[in-house]
Amino acid sequence: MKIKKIVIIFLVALIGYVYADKLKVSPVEELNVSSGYGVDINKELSGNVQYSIPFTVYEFKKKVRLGTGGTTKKAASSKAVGEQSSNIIEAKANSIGQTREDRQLNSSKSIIIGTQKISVISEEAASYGILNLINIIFSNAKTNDRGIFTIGKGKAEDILNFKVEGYASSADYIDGMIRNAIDYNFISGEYTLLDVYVALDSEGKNLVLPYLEIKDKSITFTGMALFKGDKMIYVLPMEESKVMNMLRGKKGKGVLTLQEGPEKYINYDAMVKKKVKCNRREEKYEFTIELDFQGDIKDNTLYKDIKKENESEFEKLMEKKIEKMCNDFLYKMKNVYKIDCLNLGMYAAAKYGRETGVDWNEKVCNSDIKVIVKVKIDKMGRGQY
Amino acid sequence: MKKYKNIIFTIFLCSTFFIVFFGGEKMKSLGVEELDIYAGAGVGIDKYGEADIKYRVPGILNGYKLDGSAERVISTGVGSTIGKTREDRQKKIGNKLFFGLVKLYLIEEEYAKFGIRPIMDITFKNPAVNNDLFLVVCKGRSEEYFMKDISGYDNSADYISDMIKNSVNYNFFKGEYMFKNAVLSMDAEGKNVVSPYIEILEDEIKITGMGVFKKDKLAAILDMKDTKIMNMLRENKVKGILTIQKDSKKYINYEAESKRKITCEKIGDKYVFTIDLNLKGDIINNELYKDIASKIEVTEKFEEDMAKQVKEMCSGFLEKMKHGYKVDLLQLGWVAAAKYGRDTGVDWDEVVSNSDIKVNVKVSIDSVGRGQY
Repeated sequence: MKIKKIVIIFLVALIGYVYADKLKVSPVEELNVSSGYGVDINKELSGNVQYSIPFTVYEFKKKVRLGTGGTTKKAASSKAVGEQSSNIIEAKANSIGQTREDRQLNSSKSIIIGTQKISVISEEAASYGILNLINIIFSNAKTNDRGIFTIGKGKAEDILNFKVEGYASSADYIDGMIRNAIDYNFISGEYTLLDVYVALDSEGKNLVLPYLEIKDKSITFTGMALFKGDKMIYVLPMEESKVMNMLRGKKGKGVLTLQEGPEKYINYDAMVKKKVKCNRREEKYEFTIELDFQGDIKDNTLYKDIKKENESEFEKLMEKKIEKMCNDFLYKMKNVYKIDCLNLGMYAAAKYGRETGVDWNEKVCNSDIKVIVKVKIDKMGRGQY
Repeated sequence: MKKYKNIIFTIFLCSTFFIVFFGGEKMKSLGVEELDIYAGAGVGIDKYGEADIKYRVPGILNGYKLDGSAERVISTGVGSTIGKTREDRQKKIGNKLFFGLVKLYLIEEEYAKFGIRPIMDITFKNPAVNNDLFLVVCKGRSEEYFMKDISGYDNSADYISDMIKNSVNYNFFKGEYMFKNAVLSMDAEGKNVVSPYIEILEDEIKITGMGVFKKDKLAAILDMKDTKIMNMLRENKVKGILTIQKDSKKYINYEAESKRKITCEKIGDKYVFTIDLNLKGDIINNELYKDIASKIEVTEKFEEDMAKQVKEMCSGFLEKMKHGYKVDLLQLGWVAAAKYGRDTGVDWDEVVSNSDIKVNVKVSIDSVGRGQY
């Protein structure tokens, strides 16, 4: 008897809750579904900043009833349903929260915040600091945590406004581009909101984000943006980004090349695994980065008849080349960028204690970093002309 | 009873027959193809001198083509009275006018200043008109708004009415700027009509404020900042964002829902109004207060600061209202009239402007979000 009563009370409470929740639900036609947003800032003379945040909003075109014939009608209507385009709604205000109010004033539907797949932060806004942005997005529990962050050259609005054929909006295109970029260039794909949040908050980590540009009439992934704290300080070109990603990520895939002339080269499609060891000698830290490459030869016009013997020769040459690339990069990192873009501070902090007030950027740049490279060939392909 | 069943039924049938046959006008039914169904209408005037005024009423409708797609058609009627504009418009179009589904009246600013009583009257007299249509005041000529192409919509009247409907999410808008409410509050004692004010900015239609009427004439246009405060004090249960900002990086955004209560007292000849404003909501972005989630003192400090700021905003607005606009923007006269008697010949605008208005603000936090870096 008692159990019955409890069950009934529980059910009543549940129904009440569900009903109350349901009241807020509105059909999708009455909502502005957003696929991406950008962040631009306009600096005012007084030193204050005006945030301007454009939203890409899907727009569903009405079905067009066409034709009278049975078969043609079907074909035409199915085509019309798939048609989708997007629109941009911009809002400007002195703080990011207030842009929501401003945006509502010139849009005809209520906007759901947090569904975005992509965010494009303009270079200027990123150098000004992305802390406020990350906080407002993260504190909303309905946000899509897997949304990807990117930095765009010029104005973010221009990148979002860019029409890409075959896609409803350029945000969808960028989303696919970044998610699939992991197959080459050793890109790790860890640019989601959660990753950004973790990178900003933990000791010895620095944030890197993809850098986009409109080049030759298409949106291109041209490098990586390097952050110190919440501010962007450098943009690395793709060549350097490749080496950085190789040394930074746990795993990565990419193509390495040994080249002697325009027709004489060898392409090596490899997967890399990284291991970091850290030692402290008195005040100086020593890092050893071990890189294990394993992969296939895709294209070879450099060595005639690779056999078991000259396989090891190739492996050695490749090792040397990669080591040189890495050392060049490390030299540049220590002397030019002066930040720990390989997250080495994290390893040291894990071993020798956190929250000791150490500036890891400085410590890492003054430390010894050794790179040990191992190259292994899996397959050579099915023959060679 | 059972015995008389047949007789009752027969009498009922007969009387129905007679009523239908002799009484009233027969229902006119027309095919939908023969009607011009208007989606929105604008009202404007052209002045040709002191007393020479011509009304200009452009209507917007969807012209349907054979393939099912819609095309925007604008037809304008001009005349010295609004009734005459109908005749004038009828001359230009092929179908019968049908105003029953109008969603929106765009009232031009100039006409609103002149007085909207004629349009209210002619609309109210017509029982077929949609009472839920929105009244919107616009800058410039209403044709400009109707001429705008908006992707995803067949015509801009649908777009603007959707815009007003959904404005309730932010800025403390109430969204009840409909014809029926305007009719009720235009002549009610101590009440007044407000309606959103739209402009074309950067080639987009945007709500930029609120027009406030005194009786049937537009008395003031408030900018967005004042509109927010007025809405907050005027309406009950509305939503919006409030901000305390130190500089571009240090600020706190607070998304609140308001509850408002007005009490009125008469001391001597002077009225004293007390507006209790309860704000409850979430913090959506915070860079200003450290540890707001963990320390109760910080939370209390924020609530205090926010209450203080809102109070300051409100008293600044009330000063402006009393000495600048001199209109009872908050419908306080209505509250006083309900308590101390109507039809006493009091000009509530004047009384409210000379009364004491106190605002008590209480701020409470619901949630602070799921974390902060």
